[in-house]
Amino acid sequence: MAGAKILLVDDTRLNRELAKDLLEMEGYQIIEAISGKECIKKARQNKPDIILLDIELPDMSGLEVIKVIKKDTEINSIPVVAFTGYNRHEEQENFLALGFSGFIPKPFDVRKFPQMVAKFLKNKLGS
Amino acid sequence: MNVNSETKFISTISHKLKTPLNAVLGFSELLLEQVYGTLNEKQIHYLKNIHSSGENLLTLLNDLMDLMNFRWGETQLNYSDFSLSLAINEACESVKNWVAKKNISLEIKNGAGISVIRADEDKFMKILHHLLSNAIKFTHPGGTVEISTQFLKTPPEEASFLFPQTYIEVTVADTGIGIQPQDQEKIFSEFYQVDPNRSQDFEGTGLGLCITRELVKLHRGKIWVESEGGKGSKFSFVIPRIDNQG
Repeated sequence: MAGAKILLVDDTRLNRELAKDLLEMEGYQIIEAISGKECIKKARQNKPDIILLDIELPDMSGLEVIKVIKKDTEINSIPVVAFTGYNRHEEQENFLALGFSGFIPKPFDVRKFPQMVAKFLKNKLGS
Repeated sequence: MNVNSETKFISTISHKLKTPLNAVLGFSELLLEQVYGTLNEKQIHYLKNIHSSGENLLTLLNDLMDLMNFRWGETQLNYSDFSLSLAINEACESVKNWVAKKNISLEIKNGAGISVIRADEDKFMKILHHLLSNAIKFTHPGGTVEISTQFLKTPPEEASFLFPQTYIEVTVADTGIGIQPQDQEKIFSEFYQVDPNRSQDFEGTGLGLCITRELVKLHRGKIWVESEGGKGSKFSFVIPRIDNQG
């Protein structure tokens, strides 16, 4: 799984920096995006192994972004994980219904975060 | 502002507050791992202060969201069947480091006759966690916290309003500072903390027991405390064992 390509979408610089440092330590290749449009563009260009998608983005919400991704046959098989502070049960159910593969709650535990990402990657490679 | 827009407003604020907290907690934790070099004692101490303050703030935020959800009547139970003893073990596991650090002995006494119970597992775990945290917080080093379960065929007097069926009783007893009779009902109120002069030694949001009572109530149960000042406290709650109407 080392070397896997991860598209990290978050409009908060510090959160991106933290997640990037943690994932690079595990040997992943990180592509960053700070908006919904940039996420869709970079997903098409780079075909990442997984997308970590923040829900609150400046131009469009993560819920709108995933709708676009799921309609695009070139990229709709890439697992998208909601990366968010919206952690209520109802909100999480809604994420799954929209096609998210799962969620990583924020704030995340520094030790558990890379393991959670690895689990989603493993599911993808195993399928 | 109507209830819906207020819900959305507070949910958004809570999310906005969590975003910078993610950085505070994450970067301090990363530095504490010392992957970027060894730290001296003072640096570690300060970083731990930053990290634990961030954690307290996060707890407060989560507790507030829970309370707001109760107010809005937005809290729904998702019933499932699960093992009571595994739930108790898991709750004890989550406070393991804390009791070890405080040198408190944590004991489990599982009553006979209970295996699977029906409740909202996440919320049941929250109840256990709040009660254990409360007990550990107010118990001096060297003390004991005991969590026990029992299967009841008739409800105890304290919970006599419940309709006839079988019940699960969970008790968390500690050897801590205890609660004076005049405070025993008040401690379940929002932000009530016994003796403000002492509260500096026992950090907390003052919301834990209030949330616990709401969660027990949602399960159509009852919670109460028995205590004598200075001699420890015993919190018990009872919920119906099987609830097919959930």
